[in-house]
Amino acid sequence: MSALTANVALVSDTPVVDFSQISAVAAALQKQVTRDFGSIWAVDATVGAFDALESVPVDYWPVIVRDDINQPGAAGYHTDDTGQPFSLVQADANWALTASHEVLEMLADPFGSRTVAGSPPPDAPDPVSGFERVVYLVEVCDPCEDAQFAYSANGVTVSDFITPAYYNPTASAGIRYSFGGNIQGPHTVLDGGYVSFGNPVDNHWYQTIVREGQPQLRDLGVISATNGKSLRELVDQKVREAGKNEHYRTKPALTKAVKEWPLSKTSTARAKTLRNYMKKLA
Amino acid sequence: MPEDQSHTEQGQVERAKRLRERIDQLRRGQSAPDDSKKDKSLKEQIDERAREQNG
Repeated sequence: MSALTANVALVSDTPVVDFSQISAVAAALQKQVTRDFGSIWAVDATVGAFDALESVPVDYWPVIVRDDINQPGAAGYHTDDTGQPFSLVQADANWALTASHEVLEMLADPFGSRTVAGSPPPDAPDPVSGFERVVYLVEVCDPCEDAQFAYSANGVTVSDFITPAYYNPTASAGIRYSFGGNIQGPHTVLDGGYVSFGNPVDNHWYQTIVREGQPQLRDLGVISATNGKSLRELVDQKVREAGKNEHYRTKPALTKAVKEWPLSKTSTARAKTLRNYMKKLA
Repeated sequence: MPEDQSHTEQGQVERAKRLRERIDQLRRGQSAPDDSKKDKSLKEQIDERAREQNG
């Protein structure tokens, strides 16, 4: 692939997630990006594990795990003072899944303002159902972000993600709309997920959220000026202003490192076999 | 290869410091340290500086 390689740094800034966990999850995310995501989204990327924020090379986009950002406005995607992307992940029991979500969305749209036009979400209520055409913010995990649709890489739980066909004008047989096959048609949202879109006529933005199978419309209002922020940051800000923070992950933070995690029994057994083999070689 | 084998460069250290300051601001609910500085993209700011320096 001749694309400019993107480099993502997975790094912990909290003692409750140690480097062994960071390196195991980074390896899983690298496998997910190379095996599953890269060819579908035409992305060439590395995911590296780093022991401290100070060790992250300056051209890497950091995904930072912290234990103190479990509040609206802190977790998720941001840009730094030079407009470069970084993401904050809360160190809860599902932080690897969240890191997968953030890495994939960062790679599909690093600068957070990519949109694709299409018909309104099929189950959206009025007034959205009457719109001729809307623009979708490209966030590749949101419609299928719930943990029930996740899958495993190296034994680490990673996020399902939509494919570019999600933005097709019509549904067709045999088309994959999400990697895991959970989404059955364009612009649809699974339970526990959401999609953000705007009406290009007046730049009024909305989210369709599905909770317990029921689609709900969240009115975010008009986005009138970007003020140098990405569309993703502005949409997140509108969600906070609306006082509706359901999609922020508010699971309990980890209070201590889980030493056994994420080593699988198979990895441990293989390590034992390799050590025995090396003893015979010595 | 410089004698100092450390993989930590000064640029990385300063960037980490700025990121931590930004994270603290986000934790306090402040969306950006100074939005007026972000009115223009980085490319726009670089182009503007170049024009200024070229008279």
